[in-house]
Amino acid sequence: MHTSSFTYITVLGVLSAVLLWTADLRAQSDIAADTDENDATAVSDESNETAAAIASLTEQLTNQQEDISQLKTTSSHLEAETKMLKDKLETATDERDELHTILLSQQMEDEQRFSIYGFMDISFTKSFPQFDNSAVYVITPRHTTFYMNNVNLYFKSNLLPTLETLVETRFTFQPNGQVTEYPYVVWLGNHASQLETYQRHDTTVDEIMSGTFKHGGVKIERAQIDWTPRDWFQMRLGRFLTPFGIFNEDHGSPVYISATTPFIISDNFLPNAQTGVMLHGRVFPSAVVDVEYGLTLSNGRGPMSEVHDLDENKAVGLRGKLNTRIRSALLSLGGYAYYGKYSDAEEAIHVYVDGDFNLADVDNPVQARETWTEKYKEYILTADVKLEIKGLTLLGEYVWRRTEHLIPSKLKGVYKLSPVLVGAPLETDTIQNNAVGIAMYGMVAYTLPLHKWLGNIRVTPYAGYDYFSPNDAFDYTKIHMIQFGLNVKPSPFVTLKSSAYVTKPEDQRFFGGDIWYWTNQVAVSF
Amino acid sequence: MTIPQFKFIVLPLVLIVMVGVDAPDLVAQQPDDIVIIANKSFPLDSISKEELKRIFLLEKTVVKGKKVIPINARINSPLRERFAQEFLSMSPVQEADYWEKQKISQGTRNPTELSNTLKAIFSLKTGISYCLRKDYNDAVAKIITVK
Repeated sequence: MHTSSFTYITVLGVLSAVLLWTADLRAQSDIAADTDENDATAVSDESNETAAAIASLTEQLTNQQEDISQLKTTSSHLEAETKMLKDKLETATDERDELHTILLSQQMEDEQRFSIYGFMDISFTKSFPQFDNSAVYVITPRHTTFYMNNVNLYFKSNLLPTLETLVETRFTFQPNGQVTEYPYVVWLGNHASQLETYQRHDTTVDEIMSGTFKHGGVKIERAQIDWTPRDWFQMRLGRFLTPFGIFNEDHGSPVYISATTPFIISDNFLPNAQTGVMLHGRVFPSAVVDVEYGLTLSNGRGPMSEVHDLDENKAVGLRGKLNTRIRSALLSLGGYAYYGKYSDAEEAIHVYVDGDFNLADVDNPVQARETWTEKYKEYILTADVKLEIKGLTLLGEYVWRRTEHLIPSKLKGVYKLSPVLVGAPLETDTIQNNAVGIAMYGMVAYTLPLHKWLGNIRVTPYAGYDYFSPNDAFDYTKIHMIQFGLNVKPSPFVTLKSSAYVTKPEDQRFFGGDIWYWTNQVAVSF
Repeated sequence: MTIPQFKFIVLPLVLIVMVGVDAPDLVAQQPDDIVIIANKSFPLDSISKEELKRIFLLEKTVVKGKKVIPINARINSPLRERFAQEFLSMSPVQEADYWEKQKISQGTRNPTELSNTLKAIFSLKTGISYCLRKDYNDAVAKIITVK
């Protein structure tokens, strides 16, 4: 190719390229201008919308801020109110607790301070002597009968933590019906002579305004003030049960296993209660052993020892008891020694006068003189044992008593028969002798394991032997007794008993042989 | 001593120690256990089971010179029945019989009965009672250890 042609072609090419580039630039510039114009319009529109939205949002935000502010205010009010309510609730709870505590204390004080409770029983008995006119009817009912022995009320008051009082009263229908004198009709062949006359208390009141009724009596079984500063040192003042044996301490028919009491209790072999003071307590030498003691000083036995003593001598007694408990098993061994003097006396006012029946001119013209009618010393020793293990109960008591008469005194009661039994006229004036008396009993009882079938009803058969010899000089007063029975407790408050027992006097002439009895009893505590 | 022998001896020892450490807690911390509680000013922190029984049977009434006041749970409540069985060795009926006998023989009434023994203890300086461990509140009473 020619150089000029090449140059020409090259210039043309360059020019074309420049033209094309310029045209492209123009075209691009036009496009850009168009685009900018369109964009500006769009932005303007969007800007307006955004502003509106922002304004709207701002308004909403303002509203929300106001709402939040209101909510905050409400919340703080609610918080304050909640706090106030909580405070009130806490105060109310504290007050309620305090009130509850006060109520509890009052309830406990009321329960502890004063309470009344008691027990009663009713019995039904029938005797089966070997002949109809047995002398046993002097001391036991001839005919089948109901009778009530105990309607006892307790009044207990806890004055201070270490000071309390207990009064137990026994309401009785007696003395109405009590025979105070049995006549003796002595038959010599067809000739009868009577000593004494029949006398029986009749307490009938027959008055138009009050109507007709028979008044009974109230016996104060015990009335005692107890000061209990320590377990090992306590003091009892007043009328208290003599701390001897098992039955005397058990005291009430709902607690007794049998329907009747042993001769030791029923015959007052030693005073069942005394008026005076008793120091007593309990110590615990080991985990399973405790020892009780009691020291009594009292008026002792006497015709009116409940209210005052008729001699200077005070009866003294010493009680000791050892209890061993291993789980539910119990073994108790006890004893009581008593010494006292029984004195009975009559008082008379002696007045010395002169011939004109004026008081005589002597020292002490008016005098009250005491005349002893009966006086004897009593020495008594008792022993008791009780074992409870797995439903089995074994218990027994023994009492030995010696009486020494200090002045001659006439025989009383059943002892009036003594002369005729030794071949002397019944009316022979005889005096009491020094004597030794013995009484004892043993009893076994077993609570049958019937829990599966009877629930809480307990059935306890029992058997016992009782011996009584109040005066070793008179065999006819010696009695043996054998008994069998059933004790049923449908609840801790109710006891049903049925006993069959036979008394066997050593001297068969007096009662005419053995006498069988059947006695049933319902005893309730309340 | 080889390693297996060592393991054979040591591992059981470790297990025994662990069990030994944990066992008392496992035994003592049951929520339904009965705990003996007393007012914080009660003169004792621990008591023998026999002494506790004597206190609740009112045979022992003074502890360290102070008259103690036992408080029982309500009669026939499960707590009372369990307490009688575990601490007095008595069935509920035997316990009822015991108090009936005390009432008639000695004129002694059974200890006060309350449903909330814990609160009672709070108000009685020489009070002693019992409750379930889960109901115990250490702000109100203290636990008396029974030896």
